[in-house]
Amino acid sequence: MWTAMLRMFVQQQVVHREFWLVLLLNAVLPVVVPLLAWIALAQSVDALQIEGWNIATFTQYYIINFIVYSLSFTSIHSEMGNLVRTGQLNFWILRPLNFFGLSFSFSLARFAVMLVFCTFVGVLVQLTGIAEFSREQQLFALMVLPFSVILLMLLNMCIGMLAFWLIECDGAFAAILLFLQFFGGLILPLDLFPTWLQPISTILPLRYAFGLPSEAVVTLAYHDIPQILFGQIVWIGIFFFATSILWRRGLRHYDAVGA
Amino acid sequence: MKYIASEIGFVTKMLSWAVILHVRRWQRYRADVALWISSIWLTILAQGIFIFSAYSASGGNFFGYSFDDVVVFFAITLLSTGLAQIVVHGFTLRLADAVWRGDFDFWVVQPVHLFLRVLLEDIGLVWFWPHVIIGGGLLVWILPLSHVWLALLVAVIAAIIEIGLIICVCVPAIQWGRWNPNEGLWEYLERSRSIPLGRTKNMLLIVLSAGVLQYSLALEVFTGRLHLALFFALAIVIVTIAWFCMRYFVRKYTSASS
Repeated sequence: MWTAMLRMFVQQQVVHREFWLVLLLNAVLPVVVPLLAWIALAQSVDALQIEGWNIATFTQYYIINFIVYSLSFTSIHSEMGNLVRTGQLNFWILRPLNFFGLSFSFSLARFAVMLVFCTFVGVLVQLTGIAEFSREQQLFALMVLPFSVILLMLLNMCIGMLAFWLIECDGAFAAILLFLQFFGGLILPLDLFPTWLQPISTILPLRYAFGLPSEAVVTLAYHDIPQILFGQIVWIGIFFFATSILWRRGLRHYDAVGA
Repeated sequence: MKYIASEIGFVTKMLSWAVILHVRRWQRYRADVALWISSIWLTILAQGIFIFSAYSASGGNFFGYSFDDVVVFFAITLLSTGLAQIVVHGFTLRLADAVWRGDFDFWVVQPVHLFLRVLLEDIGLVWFWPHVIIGGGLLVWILPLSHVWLALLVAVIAAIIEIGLIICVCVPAIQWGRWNPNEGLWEYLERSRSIPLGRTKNMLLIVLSAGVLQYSLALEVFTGRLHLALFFALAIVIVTIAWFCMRYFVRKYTSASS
């Protein structure tokens, strides 16, 4: 049954013509535009390094972020918002299929589609020499990035649960994610933040999804692995717990005709 | 003359109703508004940090722009995107849904022209006032009065261009109800207008940032490197294209066409 659901969701993703445009707008451009901006800036100041970063390391950093961001791009928060707002959640609660199983299949379907896309991009990047990742860097990435993706998916789910208490939630979701992603290092490496703002990034979760893992892969900082994995697992636990609590409380608040 | 006066009176009445209903509606959902407003302030903070970090990292050699130019760019982008979204927010949010449900029939048969419907459907005042306040406030604060008017003018023209571009991207939903670029478009606009591009030679960056180029051009007008009339002509061209796109898709529309 789960395979059938997974297949159905994959078909849903690719059959809609707008999917690829939304993908371009949502997943590719947010990461590619800042990368190109840094490259243009480095070229314009004619400097080999900007604050310790050069064009090659910038490129590697943003490509890793792009892959993590794309693979975790489930939009489950948006779907959750729609289900609650329109009251369609009723049908899913009453069906024998577990709602979390449904969400998991949906996320996995997105992940499968994006994995194909990211593999294509990764191979293209490596072959064309836009950014070259050594074998060590690739292995290093395989160690730390899966947890980044799980962490982001759970964060999406957790934010989606706010739909039980909100009406016009899409914009708020997007703004929250935008903020967290920024302070996580998605569009600006954490080193380049003003010193007085770095503590904000320290207490927010997404530095363990973007900034720290990507920097560690770029610089092959083996000694950072335990700290990164520990942070990722702690935040995954927190989001899993928060999602369960919000789901239970949300259901009590839910009045079956929308929030 | 009498006819024009009565039309203006009618439109003004509709607009005031739109504002009143918008405010009344969102008074009932204060949690949504509070969450959105707080997150939008934080988003603006993030954008400010990005541009000023980039400026600091360049050691002051930021495509030839001075620090004041960068502040003006940041303020113009906020003000113009705020103004544009106040006008077009509800349209982008509801168009695809209206077509999908068949409600678009009622949009078309209303006496108000469809172009005005963009504004009347649901204004974005409650959501986007921080952009206008911060952008406008910064301009008034940092610029001498003689320069403020030019900055405000270019911001308004950039807003008109943004409205035109958004309409162009969204109106295919009249033909295909599943076409709903709302959230993706908003995120693209929010994320891509990070730095002024008017003096970069990176063509790929310029192409990928085409949807937000109006802010960079606005800065070029403000710094005297681009003629105001050219910028205004560009706005007219974009709005005309948007008008033709809308006309084309409305003519092709058949009830519940999706």
